[in-house]
Amino acid sequence: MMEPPDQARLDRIAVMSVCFAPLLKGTARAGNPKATLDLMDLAGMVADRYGIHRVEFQQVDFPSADPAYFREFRSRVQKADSQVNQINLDFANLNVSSPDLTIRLETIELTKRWIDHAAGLDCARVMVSHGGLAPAVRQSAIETLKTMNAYGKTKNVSVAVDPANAPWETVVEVVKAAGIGVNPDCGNFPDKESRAAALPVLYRMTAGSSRVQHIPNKFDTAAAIKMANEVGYKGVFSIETSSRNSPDPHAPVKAILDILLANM
Amino acid sequence: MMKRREFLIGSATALASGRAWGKRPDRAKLNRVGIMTVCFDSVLKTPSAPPDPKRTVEIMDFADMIAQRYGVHRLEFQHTDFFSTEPGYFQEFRRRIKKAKSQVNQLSLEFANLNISATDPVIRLEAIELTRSWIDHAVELECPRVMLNQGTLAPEVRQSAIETLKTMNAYAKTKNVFITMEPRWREDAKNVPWDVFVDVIKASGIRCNPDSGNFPDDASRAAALPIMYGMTAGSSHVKEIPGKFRAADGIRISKEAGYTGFYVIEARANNGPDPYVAVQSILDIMLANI
Repeated sequence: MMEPPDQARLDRIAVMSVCFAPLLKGTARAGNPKATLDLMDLAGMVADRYGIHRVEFQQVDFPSADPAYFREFRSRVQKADSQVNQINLDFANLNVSSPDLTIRLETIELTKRWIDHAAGLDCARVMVSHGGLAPAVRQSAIETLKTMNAYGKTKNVSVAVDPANAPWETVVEVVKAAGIGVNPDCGNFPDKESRAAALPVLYRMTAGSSRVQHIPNKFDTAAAIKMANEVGYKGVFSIETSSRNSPDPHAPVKAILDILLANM
Repeated sequence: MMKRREFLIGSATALASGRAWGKRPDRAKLNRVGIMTVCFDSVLKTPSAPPDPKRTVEIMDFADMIAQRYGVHRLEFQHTDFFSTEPGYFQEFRRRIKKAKSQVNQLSLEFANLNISATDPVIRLEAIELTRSWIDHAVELECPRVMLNQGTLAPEVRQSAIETLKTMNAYAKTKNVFITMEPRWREDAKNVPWDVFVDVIKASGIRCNPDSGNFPDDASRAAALPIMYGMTAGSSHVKEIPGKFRAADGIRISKEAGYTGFYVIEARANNGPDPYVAVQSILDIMLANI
């Protein structure tokens, strides 16, 4: 008989909604008309199928931001004995690297709204888009992140950024200056050298969560998890796949889950 | 703070307009007048304006300047005027408004790329969320109205725009804030017919902010304004467009429609190069015609 997966390990694993994008309905953008899985049922499905009780969402998943919708959503997550691990915010045309103060203020305002929604969903983290952090806007981006973070602290919600789309050293510098967290993603590096140099640093600066991708022709996922272990990372590993991984969204999730369970 | 030189220029303007020699302006009439910050676009320090010695007016001093120069105590701001949205900033802003014995009449929201006519539901949700934030700020500033940009209201997005407005309005009602939209017309744009605009307002339950200058011709203005002045949240915009439209005619139409709300001055570059003089000239028309 197969041994059941170690629950302590499963408790450190989350699955992102993007993994199931082709199957999801009830989202803001509606998606595939043949979709079968309602966003409201995602936590239940992930719990039943994988024994995983952490689910991570994009802000663009939600078809409503009304309190009644979020109350129902929260009750469905709770019914699955699950938790919203993180909400990833990617606002249209708005981010902290805008040179325009009004745009940065709008980014702050929307982020505050989503920090409130995160708090309402008992979700401990939001991840924001850093927008590139070009030298000319870096200081104002840091100030913007500080403002968001100050608000996040009042709601017990951490603010984090993804190290993608900017030199990782720049992201580290900005994260330190802003006092926020980083959300390491082992898939988002141009080469082995930068991954090996960055991950040990980034895993020490998290808000308690990280991403795991599996791109076999590009990097070794197990090695990345070992790097996290070696630096004492105790946080959550959130599984991220995309439809490019397989026509069946479940297969790549299971593949990463197996790697995680074997290497955490 | 307003500089002494600006005060003297203002006094000279008042003298030139003849007000200083005549009787004092009727306080009851002045109380029905507001002034928009956009009138002072060329001299106002704003977040988007690069440093410029011609820009001498701080947003924090705006209420004082308007009260001292014109005796007007109603002000209308763009959300893009504000340098911060933090509670401390708005507390200080509110204190400065109160110091001038003034009131924020309306906040005009012009979000970058976000409006109710977006085809993407995610963008419409972002517009809802940002509008809710500004409704909260309106409450912080004791401001009873926010005005939205309606976007295109094209036929294919009209129903979703109405639903979006309904959602915004439901939130605004819980905060005792009105949501308004104004008719818009530009020669270089695809414009929404005024009767369609009125239908959207009725269907969504929000209110109209009539703007007497925003019509392509006298016929549409004469047809639309009496209806729009019956659908307000208590405020309207007044323009004087030389060669095209007289503010006095708009005020007359409003009175015939039984309108008893506020008239907010929106002076533009076509009212002359000096914003202080331009506002005074429209104010004089209003005081003579309200």
